[in-house]
Amino acid sequence: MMNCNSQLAQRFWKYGRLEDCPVLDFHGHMGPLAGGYLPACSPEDMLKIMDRANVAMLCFCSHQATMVPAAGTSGDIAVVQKYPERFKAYHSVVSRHLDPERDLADMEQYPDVFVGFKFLADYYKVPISDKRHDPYWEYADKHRLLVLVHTWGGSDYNCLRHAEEVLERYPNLIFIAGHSFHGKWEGAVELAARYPNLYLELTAVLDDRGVLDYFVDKLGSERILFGTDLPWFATHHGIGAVMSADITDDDRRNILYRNGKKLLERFPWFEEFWNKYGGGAF
Amino acid sequence: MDFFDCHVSYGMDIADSQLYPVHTIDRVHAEMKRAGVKNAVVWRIESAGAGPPIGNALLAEDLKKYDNMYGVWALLPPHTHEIFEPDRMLDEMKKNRIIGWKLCPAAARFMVRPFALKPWLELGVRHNIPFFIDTAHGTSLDAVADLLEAYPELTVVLTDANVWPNDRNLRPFVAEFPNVYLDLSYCITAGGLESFVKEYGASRLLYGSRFPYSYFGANMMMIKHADIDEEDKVSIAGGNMKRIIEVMNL
Repeated sequence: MMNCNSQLAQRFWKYGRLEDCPVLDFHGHMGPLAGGYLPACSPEDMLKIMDRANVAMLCFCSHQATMVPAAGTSGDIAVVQKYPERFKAYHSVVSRHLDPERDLADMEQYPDVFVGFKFLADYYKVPISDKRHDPYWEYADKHRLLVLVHTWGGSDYNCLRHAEEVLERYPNLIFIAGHSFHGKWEGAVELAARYPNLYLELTAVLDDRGVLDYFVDKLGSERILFGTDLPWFATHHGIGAVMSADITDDDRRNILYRNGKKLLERFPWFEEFWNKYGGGAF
Repeated sequence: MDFFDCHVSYGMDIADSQLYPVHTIDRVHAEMKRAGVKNAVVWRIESAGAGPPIGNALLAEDLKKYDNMYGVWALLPPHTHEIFEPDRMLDEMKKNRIIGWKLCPAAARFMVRPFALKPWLELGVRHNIPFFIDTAHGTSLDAVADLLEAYPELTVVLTDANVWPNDRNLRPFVAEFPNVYLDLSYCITAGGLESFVKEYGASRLLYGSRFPYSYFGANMMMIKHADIDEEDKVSIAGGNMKRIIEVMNL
């Protein structure tokens, strides 16, 4: 039964997906990975996994876009254009191969494709607060975009300190802390309490029992976003963890879709998309 | 579908700063009930931190309270005579509902080499006693490979403490050695169950949660709603672990 204290958990357990509880996944990738075998990394295989859990939408940045600068984001654009109601993309910010003019032109040209940017500074070994990134942060701030940042507690490139250096300069963008500054849970909550545009995202957090419980206890559930790193981690594993935490069903709904809905409402395409999922019924 | 968790621990860790630690077997039992986990293989973390003689004894005492839990004792090389001698070990295991062995070489400071553990390995093969090997406790995958190359029939429940997609490392163990089972505690790759079962069947996978470090329910949900046959889910959830115990001959 997974959690005998939660009606929502018991229904998820029984059906695997709930029409009245869609899921918005804010941390995805796509395509093969150098460091491991991903058996379900094509858009179509990912859609099958999403359908089984009623994941309405995945915001992603493919491995190609983050790791193969020569290929750029064309693949991501094509996927979103093929499945506009299921995928939206973060434009990669490949710190050592930046071309702001080209990248921001992409953003202007494809407003229905991109929801913002993806930073992966640990991999590029350039701090997110490095001035070379300023054009991206400025653009995101000006347009109130979402910025998914890979964050990690002990990082030299995207830890709490680097995030604060960005947050104090850019109050209008939405800073999504991918992995929630992994390991520095207390600091993550404190930083989120100080900056209302900072959201904690749960990829690679949900395999640690108690962290979500702690976040909700200290911060509340309104600033937490669901994410799985799909095609890395199984969507049902993540949902199972959310259902297992010692939080309320209202908290679970906030995390799975309500908070995400509030963020995505800023995009013109959202209303039509959301109405297809029942609109305000939940 | 009955869930038999192959990877549960509890106890008081002097070094770990877990947010919500689980100190007692009573609490494990209560959490199993909340999640709907029927059976579990458990060990006390003191077997690493305080040493096998102490941790193993504490576990045996605790297990008297709950017959839905089965214990795993930590081993040491027999040369120092700190735990039961091999000729007495099986009787003590039977008496105390112990169904396997662990290796914690990082804490206990010994080499995981076939010659250092020879009597245990021979006993394990002869009596189908599973070795629960978790790389988190200091046994590398290379060391596991050494043990299995020396004792290919050894039963190993393998936990690779690494959430990165790791089939490139783990599948060769399953393909090469007939009694290697994968604990799913860290195997949470999207589509991973489906892909593995398609190629190797479901008989070599075990539901494991890694509770209290992970939630019981996360992997339960992953298994229950995997895109595989119902029969395979039942095997992975608990049937395979049950069979491993049934084929032991103590």
